[in-house]
Amino acid sequence: MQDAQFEKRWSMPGVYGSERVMMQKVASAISRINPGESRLDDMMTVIAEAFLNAIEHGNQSDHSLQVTLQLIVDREKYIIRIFDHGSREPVIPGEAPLSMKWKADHPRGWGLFLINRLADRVTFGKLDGSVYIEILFNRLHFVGLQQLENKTKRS
Amino acid sequence: MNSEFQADKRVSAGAVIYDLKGYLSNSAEDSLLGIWDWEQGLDQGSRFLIFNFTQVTYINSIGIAVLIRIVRALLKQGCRTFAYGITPHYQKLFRMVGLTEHMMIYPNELSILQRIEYLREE
Repeated sequence: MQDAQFEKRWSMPGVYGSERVMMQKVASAISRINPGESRLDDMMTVIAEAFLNAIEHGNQSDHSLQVTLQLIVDREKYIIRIFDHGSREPVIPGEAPLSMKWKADHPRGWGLFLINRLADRVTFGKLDGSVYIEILFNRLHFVGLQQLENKTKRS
Repeated sequence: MNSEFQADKRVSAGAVIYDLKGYLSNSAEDSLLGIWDWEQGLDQGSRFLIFNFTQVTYINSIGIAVLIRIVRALLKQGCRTFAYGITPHYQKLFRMVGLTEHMMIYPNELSILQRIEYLREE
């Protein structure tokens, strides 16, 4: 990993609505680092969904527990880690086909579905007794630069 | 009524229209699913539902699940659902989850009403 240009942690109560406050905090930080970031909306949705999963599944809806977000930005990428108080590392479940998800009595579970589609990489981990989801977004200008460098090398 | 979310109903040209306001999230779950028994179809014999999203500022997976339940229930009753005022980002999310196959998105209310008029004449 490149040296981080920016790193910050925020903690919020694990209650519904906190995810929107967290979105605003992260959006404000990213807009300062990279004004006009084209993937900001995707990142905000991913943060909201991961935060909700942390409340409901990690913290088991115990609203006295906190959810922590860590944002690390370097030249190549944004890394978002969301920590909860789950006791075990989550396993990414096999995804049911869309048609099956639609037929479910209570068609929930769209959060991870959206996260997987919007982010460039999703992993889970455990650190200091907390469980986290790590979500990576490549910085598009860097991907563009890499492609240009490869093209120059080939020619 | 939850202060974070509001759904105001009106009827226009035979279509049931809900003007949604605020956050389409957990706060909307009880409001929208409790506002009407969607399994019965629409009231006044209407076959067309329109959601106005112009004043919805946030939608998460809980809100999307609520929409799926409503659209799915109405489909079973032969009703069609339309929507307008949705930002490009949320349109993308709706496409990802398959909502746009059953909830037609239009740029504004007038274009939906014109489409409904055409469908009635079919």
